[in-house]
Amino acid sequence: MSEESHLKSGAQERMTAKPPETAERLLLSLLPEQVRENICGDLSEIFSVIIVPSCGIFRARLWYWRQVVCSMHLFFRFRKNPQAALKLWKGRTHMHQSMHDVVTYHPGISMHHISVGSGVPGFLFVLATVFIFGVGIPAFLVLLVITGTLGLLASRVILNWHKHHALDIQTLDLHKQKK
Amino acid sequence: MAKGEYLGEFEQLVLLALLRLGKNAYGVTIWEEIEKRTGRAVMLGAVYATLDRLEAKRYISSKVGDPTPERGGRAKRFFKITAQGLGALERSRKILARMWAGLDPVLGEP
Repeated sequence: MSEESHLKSGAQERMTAKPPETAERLLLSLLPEQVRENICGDLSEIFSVIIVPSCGIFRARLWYWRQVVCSMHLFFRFRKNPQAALKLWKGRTHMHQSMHDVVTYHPGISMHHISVGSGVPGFLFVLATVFIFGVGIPAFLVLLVITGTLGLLASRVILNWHKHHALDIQTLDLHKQKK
Repeated sequence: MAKGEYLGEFEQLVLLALLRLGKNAYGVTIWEEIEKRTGRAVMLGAVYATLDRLEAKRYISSKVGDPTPERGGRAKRFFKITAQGLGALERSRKILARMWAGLDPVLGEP
């Protein structure tokens, strides 16, 4: 391959370079809906228009990852912003994309509610299994205990994660702020 | 001046960038303007967190623009400083000017 064609292919590669997929997915899952498009779009634009032409693809990808990882704690601030929460609570924005959005933006809904909400379908699933496969009472009880324990453990893990990251904004008492 | 009304250093930088950029102020241009003029590496997340805070204080307003191909078809959000924001910036400038006043001899400036 001649030097010219090598340079051309390099330039073309830079033109079509895309941000690292995993980092972008992580970002999309972290960001609340109201800023998701803007931040991802801005990062993509900086990546392809500014960073790739000046630093090359490898360093640009590292830059993108750095932006995502180092800004993670800042992205969580959007979730804790009571004004944004109030806006959502008033119904101006809806269509929550994740459990985090529901817990964070809706005062009165906690991870406990979500755990119970997911526990009820679990219980119904156990009941359906009993009727469909004709499982006896002892097997039904064992199944119930296992499902319940797993459910409790899972909710505990999720709740601890939320507490650790201070995502639950119920303590902000948004109703008071409304007044 | 209430504590909540005082502008932090980065908030001032963001508001000044908005003033400089005028109608073309969105995430990328704001980030670029601050990096270029201050010479420090800035996280886009920090810019957005500050913009979010300033909008909550009603110092800036925003509107969604058109999507472009280099952004993967995603829309831009344009920001504009409000009259309240201008007032806050002016108050911060006066406070800093008062604090700096008379310090030239101490700093060895002519």
